[in-house]
Amino acid sequence: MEDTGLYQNGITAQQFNCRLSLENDHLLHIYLDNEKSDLLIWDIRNLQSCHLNGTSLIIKYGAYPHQTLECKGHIADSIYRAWSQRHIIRRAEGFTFKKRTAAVLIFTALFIILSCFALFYLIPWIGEKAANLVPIATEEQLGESIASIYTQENNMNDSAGYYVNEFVKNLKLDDTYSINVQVINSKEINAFAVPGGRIFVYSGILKQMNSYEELVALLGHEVTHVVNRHSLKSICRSAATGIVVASVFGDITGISSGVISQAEQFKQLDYSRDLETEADVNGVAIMVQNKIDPKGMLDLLELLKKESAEMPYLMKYLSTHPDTDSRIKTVSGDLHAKDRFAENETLAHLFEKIKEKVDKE
Amino acid sequence: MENTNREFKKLLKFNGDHGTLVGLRILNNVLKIVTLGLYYPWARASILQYMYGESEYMGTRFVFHGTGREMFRGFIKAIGIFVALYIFLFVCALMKSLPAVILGFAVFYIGILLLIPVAIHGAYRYRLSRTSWRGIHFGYRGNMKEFIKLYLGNAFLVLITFGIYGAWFTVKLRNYIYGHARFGNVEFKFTGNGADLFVIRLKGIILTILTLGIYSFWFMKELIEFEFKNVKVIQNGQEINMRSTFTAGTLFGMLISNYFIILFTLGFGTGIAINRIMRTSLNNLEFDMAIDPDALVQTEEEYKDATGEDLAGLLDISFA
Repeated sequence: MEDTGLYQNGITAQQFNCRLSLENDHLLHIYLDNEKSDLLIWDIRNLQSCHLNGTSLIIKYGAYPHQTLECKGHIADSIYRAWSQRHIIRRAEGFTFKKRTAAVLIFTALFIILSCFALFYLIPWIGEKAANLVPIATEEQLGESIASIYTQENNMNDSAGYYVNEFVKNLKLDDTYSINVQVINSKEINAFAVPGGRIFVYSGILKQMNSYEELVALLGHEVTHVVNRHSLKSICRSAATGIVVASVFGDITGISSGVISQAEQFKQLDYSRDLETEADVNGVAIMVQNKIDPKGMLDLLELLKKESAEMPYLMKYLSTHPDTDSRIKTVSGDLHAKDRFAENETLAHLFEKIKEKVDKE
Repeated sequence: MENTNREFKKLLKFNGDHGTLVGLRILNNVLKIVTLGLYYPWARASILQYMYGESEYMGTRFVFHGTGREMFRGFIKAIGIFVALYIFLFVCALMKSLPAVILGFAVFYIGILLLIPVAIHGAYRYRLSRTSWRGIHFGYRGNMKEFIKLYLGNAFLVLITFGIYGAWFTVKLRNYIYGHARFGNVEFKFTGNGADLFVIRLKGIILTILTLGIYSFWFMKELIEFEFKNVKVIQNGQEINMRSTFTAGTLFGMLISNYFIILFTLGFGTGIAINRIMRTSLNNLEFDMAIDPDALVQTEEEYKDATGEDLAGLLDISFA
């Protein structure tokens, strides 16, 4: 097949058929099919532009108004190749135009990989680092406002709370935060910490406890949440991801942003379980530091296990806490027989007082 | 020469295929996200190149010559104008004195108001100048000051007549824009009048409400008809007429099916919907005569400043 094209001189809309050949890789010979059978020679290196329009290659040459050449097929490929030689962007443009499906697939795959990485690791990591920049005073204010909601909505056991705080005063703890514990009257077997040093313990869990070591384990666990700023980090991680997801996907459809935020929440649960393990392990360290038998942590976890025995298998994946067996396993690995422990009579006495107060309710 | 006995013919055709546009849009969106939005001008240029490149008149495709680089320059200028306005407002607000705050808001809102005609003017100049057919460029010869005066003066009348003057406003803008548009030595004219448009709009709004929206497709059809039957293409004194063959049924079918396509593809099929609109639109426009290409001569100068085009994009002003 002969290489042909359509030539326009840029002065009128008349079109001329022409034959084309590419010489020395950069000289385009255009044999016009007009009365005078003119020959034009264009140097590919001096073209104004060269781009694909629909199915043809459009070549512009000379000053405005440009002369234009339209061609297809083999000659168009050769011209484009000569023009894009040593020009990476032109080659990329040509590739994305001719092999659009491949380009779309490559870019989309890259994009999905990059965004998964950003969504699950990078952005949460940035959020977590940002949490470290929050001043303690701000954290305390935030904690105060969260705590006030709990104190208003629940029936507080102030006398038990008093003795728990006395109990805390007798423990050696990191003093970055001033720890303040309050007891909520409730059958629930639980305790939690809010940012800034406020800890809430349900009377239910205190009633079930058999030794002061278990209470030290519980407090060690919650204090770790406070000192290592776990709730603030979680909040910042979710907020960072939330902001990015909303700004990127907000205007596409509600459905995709919904799917993504669900995936993000699963990841968040995973993170939350990591934090619980960290709190368990560090809780044991606090016990050792206070010369208290860390077996108390095992007893505490056994107590929780008894309570959560009925949790269905699937629920473990949806839980914010690791399943108790794996917590026990982790903690057991951390217990060393050689550590020396002593009976702490003050704590034992205070524990009796606390039990007395919660049993009265 | 008489215009009688001339038959209307379809001379426009859209060749776009769904895969290409859907792919192009995905690619553009990915690149926009990865570059935090900086790819926007290149994305816009690629879509315009596609749209014009897939549209043909008398068997020859249009060419859009605008590039991402030109549009990026315009984009930066357009963003600069917005940032300057915001900074002025912000600084005035910080002064904490009432006159300064009032001045800040006044300059800000008047600035935005002025930007609308500036954007429309600039966008037409750029868009038309960068479009060609068989090497002959379109052009827009409007004068910016004249257009701003026309726009703001008439917009003020729309405001004090509570919108009633809107139909006349639209027609005046059309008159000016078509009157100053060129395609080589071909000129255009808009012959519609405000009263006709007002009647169409009034009837359309009342009937749409009374029929709980069903009439809206006939309303749309009448608006499109008005738009095109009043455009005259003039080559060497010869007037060419246009008309729309859209029916309410065509519009209904197209819009409803597009709605479901976008919904069920979670937005990824928007490209299919756009292609269908283009195909149906170009297929429903007819001319009673073709331009004589041999008598078509290059007349327009080159214009590469995309600031207006980008301002229009940022202000979300759309036009054909």
